[in-house]
Amino acid sequence: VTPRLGAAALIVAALAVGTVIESGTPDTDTAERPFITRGTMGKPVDVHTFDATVLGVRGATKISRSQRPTDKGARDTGGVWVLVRVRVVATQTTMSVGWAGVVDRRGRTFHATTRIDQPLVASHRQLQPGIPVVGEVAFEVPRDAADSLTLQIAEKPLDRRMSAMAEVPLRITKAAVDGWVADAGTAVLTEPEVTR
Amino acid sequence: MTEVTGGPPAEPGWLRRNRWGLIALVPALAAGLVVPAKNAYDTYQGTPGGRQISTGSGGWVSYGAGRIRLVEVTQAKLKPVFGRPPTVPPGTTPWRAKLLFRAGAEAYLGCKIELEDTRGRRYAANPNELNGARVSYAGCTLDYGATPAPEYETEAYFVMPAGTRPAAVRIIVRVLAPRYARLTVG
Repeated sequence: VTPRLGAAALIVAALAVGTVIESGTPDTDTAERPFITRGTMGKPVDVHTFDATVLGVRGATKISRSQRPTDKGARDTGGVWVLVRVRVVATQTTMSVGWAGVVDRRGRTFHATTRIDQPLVASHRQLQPGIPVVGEVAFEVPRDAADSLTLQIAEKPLDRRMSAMAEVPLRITKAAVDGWVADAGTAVLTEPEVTR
Repeated sequence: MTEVTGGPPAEPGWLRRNRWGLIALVPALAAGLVVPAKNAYDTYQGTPGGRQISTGSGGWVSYGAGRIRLVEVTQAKLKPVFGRPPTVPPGTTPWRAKLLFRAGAEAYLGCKIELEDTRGRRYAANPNELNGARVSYAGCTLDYGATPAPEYETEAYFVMPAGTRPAAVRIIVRVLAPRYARLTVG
């Protein structure tokens, strides 16, 4: 009888240990989350494959890619357009910024808009190592979220699991958002250009 | 009177009682290791850039079904566009690599050409910085419509930060992964 009791006790112990390990193991989303490097506006954030520096933020209720008065490509919004000016430089190999998003205070993620051709993100611009490029990324967000945004950018466009990601909280005040909304002008997205 | 010797037969030992389980454990453990090992090997085999093929005699590299030679890498002299000299962004220098191929028409279809600097940084051909310049789009196959020839030449254009020196040209063909050709600058 004693060996059988011992075997049963061992089985119970093994199951208990397994349960403890299982409950302590992170789920897939947590285990495969991006490797985020957090920084501040105006300072480079090094995420190994590239450096990103947020240079400034502006906003509007209409954006366009062209300054021509006849251009009919302006896009309006019931929320607000947030245009983030970023300096990006590849460090090792030619790459591109595949994805950019902003996260608000409620944890909602807004991807860079696809309502207009984005010149810098969505892999539209190749970045050569050591050659910094400055450009803007446009986001369409609700007005009440615009003063609580954190920028995220990554190289991979779709599958961002375990990818290097830069994260920078944007300094946007409620007054600034109100000013953008009150201004009826159209903001023209600047083209990426090489900088020093 | 018959004499009884010994007691009941001796109980077999633990190893003997569990011998079939222990024997079965060996292939079970092996099978458990084979699957992840094969997955890792397949990933390695399918990822370009893992195994370098370097320059052999006469500067030729045998890569896949053909051979490649790096003729030269020089600073590019860009041709005027509509009579105006082309400009490159400040702080950058355009480079041109001339490559000679002895290969079939489709041996290097879909290749990627990179210029490597002395720090090991790698620059892709056909950069945005040369948009608008009159430079050919780099490839590793005969130009479309060209007469088939056993040997042909192509040019690839790059930009690097000013003051950076090229060290090698890499040719990467995904179907030949993990191998890639590395041709050092003479």
